[in-house]
Amino acid sequence: MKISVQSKSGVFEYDCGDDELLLYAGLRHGLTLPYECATGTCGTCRARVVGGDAVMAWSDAPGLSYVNRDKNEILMCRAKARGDCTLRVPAAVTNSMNPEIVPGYRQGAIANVHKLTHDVLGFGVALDRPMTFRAGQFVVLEADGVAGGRAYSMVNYRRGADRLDFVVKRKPGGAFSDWLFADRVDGARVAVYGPLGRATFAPEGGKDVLCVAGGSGIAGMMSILACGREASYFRDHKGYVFFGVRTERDVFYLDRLSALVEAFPDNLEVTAALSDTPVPPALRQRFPGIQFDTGFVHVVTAKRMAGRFAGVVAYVAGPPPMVDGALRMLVLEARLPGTDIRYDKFS
Amino acid sequence: MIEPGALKSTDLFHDLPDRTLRTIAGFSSSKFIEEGDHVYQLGDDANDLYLLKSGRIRFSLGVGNRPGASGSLILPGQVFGWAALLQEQPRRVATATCLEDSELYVIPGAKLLALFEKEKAAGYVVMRRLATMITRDFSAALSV
Repeated sequence: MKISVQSKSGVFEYDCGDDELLLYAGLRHGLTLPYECATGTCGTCRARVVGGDAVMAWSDAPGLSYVNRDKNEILMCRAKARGDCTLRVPAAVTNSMNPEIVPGYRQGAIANVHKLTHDVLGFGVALDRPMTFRAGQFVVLEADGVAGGRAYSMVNYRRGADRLDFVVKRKPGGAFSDWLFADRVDGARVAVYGPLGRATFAPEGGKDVLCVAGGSGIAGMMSILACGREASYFRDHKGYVFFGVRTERDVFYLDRLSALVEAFPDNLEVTAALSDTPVPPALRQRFPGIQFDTGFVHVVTAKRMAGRFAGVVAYVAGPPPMVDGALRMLVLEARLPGTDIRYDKFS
Repeated sequence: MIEPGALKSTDLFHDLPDRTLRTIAGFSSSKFIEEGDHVYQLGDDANDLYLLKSGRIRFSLGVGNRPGASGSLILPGQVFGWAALLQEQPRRVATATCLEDSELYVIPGAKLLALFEKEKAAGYVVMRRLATMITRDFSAALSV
């Protein structure tokens, strides 16, 4: 089917498969269509159908609260065309996406499922063809028998990766996390679409890096740190990592973070913040390269970074209350401009 | 300058003396913003309070990569951008985006605060209502 997009910067056309989501088809043609979550929750990919017909594949998508159904508006990430159609998008669009990271479809197989904590799993997806992505990006995974796709940030970083690594926190009532936590998902097939996302790190940035993560929000930060390590970025730039969890039994990846501190002892600092309990002495002894503190991660960050925010680009990821708290702190206390704050707020 | 009657119908300014509303209307202005454009973004200087005359604004307390369905809709007649009235909070901690072509009344925060220094009774009423609005916005964000 032919899709025509009327944008603030001109008209663009692309082919869309019969059963393909409008956003995914446009992005894989290299169009910079507006989106953020790509899974129906944020409303950013809102478009008006001005010709032809499109139908929402998820009629209860939370992002629909920002859509005016009376004006035939849809969410491109959860809508499919019923024949050729014309969309009006209230944003500037270009067809000059970096070809290396144009999103696409892949098939994968779940591999190496392993427990990181009582409610956090690590797992990999072995891809049928390599994917190049930017540190901090995510993909949408779909599994047979689980309705809808779920977005997960890559933990690893490699150009032309043939495996993507992820972490998942068990979500009460979450169909996808329940499926992953079930026995014998190793080898299960998944559909992969990506890479997606703009809260990314590139070594060409040239600024000191601040990572503020809550729980499984550490995933994208690990990719950023892996990219930085590969480029020896922290030889000449500072890196500050703040990882917040509730208690000692919720910590993970401290061994990997310790190894990174060991690689860049002069410039890389990692602080683990426990919000619900004091820091056990045994934990400090186990990980001497990690600094520990108590309190909410954004409060610990403000305290420990006081006077050191100048010249940083900040990455924030985690549950909404934690991200909102961190953003307020970064804007009001750290005085960072909006352009130097990149965030990933898990729905 | 804008019509004082437009202020009269808002939650923030209703019941204020007509003289006060005329003064506020006198130093305010009108602005038109296209669908998809931002009124302001996270980190911007918070200079102005806004009254939405027509259109629809999406107000999000921190919208970014992969956000949830947080935030709220601003509809005609509603006031937003209250950070302009908080002297200790001179920058935006949210993003306001037009979901359709919108006309806004722009009320300079500094001039409003200077007016309330002189008209303390009106200032007390407005600031008390402002506190209720802030509590409502934060509660809505934390409920997601």
